[in-house]
Amino acid sequence: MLAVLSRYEQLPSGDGHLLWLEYAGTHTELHRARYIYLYIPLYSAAVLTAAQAIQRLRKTWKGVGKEHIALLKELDQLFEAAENYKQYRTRVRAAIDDNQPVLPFQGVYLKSLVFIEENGDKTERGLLNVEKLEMLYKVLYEIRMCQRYPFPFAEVPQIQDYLTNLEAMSDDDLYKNSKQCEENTSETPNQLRKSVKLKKKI
Amino acid sequence: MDLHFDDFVGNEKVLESFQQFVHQLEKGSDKDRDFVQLLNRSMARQYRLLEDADRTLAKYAPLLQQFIETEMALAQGASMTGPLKLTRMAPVPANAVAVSSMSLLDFHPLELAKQLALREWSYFKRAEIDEYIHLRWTKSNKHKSAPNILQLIRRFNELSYWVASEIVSTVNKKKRVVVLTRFLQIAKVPSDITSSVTCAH
Repeated sequence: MLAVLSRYEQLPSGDGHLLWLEYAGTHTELHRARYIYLYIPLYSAAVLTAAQAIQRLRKTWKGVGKEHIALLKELDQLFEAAENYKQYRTRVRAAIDDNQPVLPFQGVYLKSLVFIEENGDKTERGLLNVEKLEMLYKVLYEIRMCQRYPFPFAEVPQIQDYLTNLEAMSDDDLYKNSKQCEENTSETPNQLRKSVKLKKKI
Repeated sequence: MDLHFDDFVGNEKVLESFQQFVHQLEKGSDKDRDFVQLLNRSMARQYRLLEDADRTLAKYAPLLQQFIETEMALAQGASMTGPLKLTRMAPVPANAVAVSSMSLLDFHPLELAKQLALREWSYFKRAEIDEYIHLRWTKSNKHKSAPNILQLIRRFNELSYWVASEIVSTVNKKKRVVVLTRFLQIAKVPSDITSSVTCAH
């Protein structure tokens, strides 16, 4: 019999959501893992995008605690595009190697696929471009690996309903509202508009 | 009396002997009768508190029940079918709180992160490998050849717009800070998976 002995606990250092699932037996490789990282770079990327978009809300940012600002900086570094998102990739690979469920940020894959497609299918001497196929395989393999394990949590219908019908405003409404939020700032309207526009990441 | 009220309630034998004790006291001196009055007042106060507690309990019972059921479902699911089954269960309690009244701050950040993982993963799972090749999601027939990738892209934009909307639409400044902080709390990422894993062992 498998039994969940303890549900979750955070690491003493407070680094991220580490969920403990203790099993008295094994089924799959996922079960063999005693812990589960709640690792959702997809969401992190979305928050980062939004955070960049509302950067100008200085008064609001002033109220945010130091640790959360640090977290945001960390996220910013994680999704740095340098060396083809090296940091982010290493992290995802570590999670995959550890048999953890991962929810990757698909934009990175799409980007590298675009780069790979820029290479020709044939080499200069008319031979099949094996190197390209290898690169392609690597990316597709990683996507497949991420799709292996679902997160072993029970659904909470209320929250699921809430997440299905997210309320999002249009660009114009966002702009209007953000202006209201920071009425007393001396920024020019041009600057405002520029910073509130959301960059589409993918 | 104040401290050990719990021992009296629901225990008829004790109550009976207590009442006998009170009756005996009433026959006694003035000092004893004063003590009886004191006891009666204390008794009444404790009963009021008990009623208050009952009301509070009734208020939170549905939530509590839901929590317990979710936990039970998780425990049972783990024991029978493994992780695959776990993602679709948790019975809906009859008198659950209406969804429309819930907002971001009503949920625990960790629970929200878990539910978010479930939801987004269900979209991600649908993407087929052949949608990713030949840049199908950029071509003219993309809606046919790569529908799930497009859905993922849409969903990502929806997520980031949602985060921005929730923050910007909060009028109260203090509350806006709370909302923003909450989003960051959910985003909390394990800083170094490999090293933390070794720590855990």
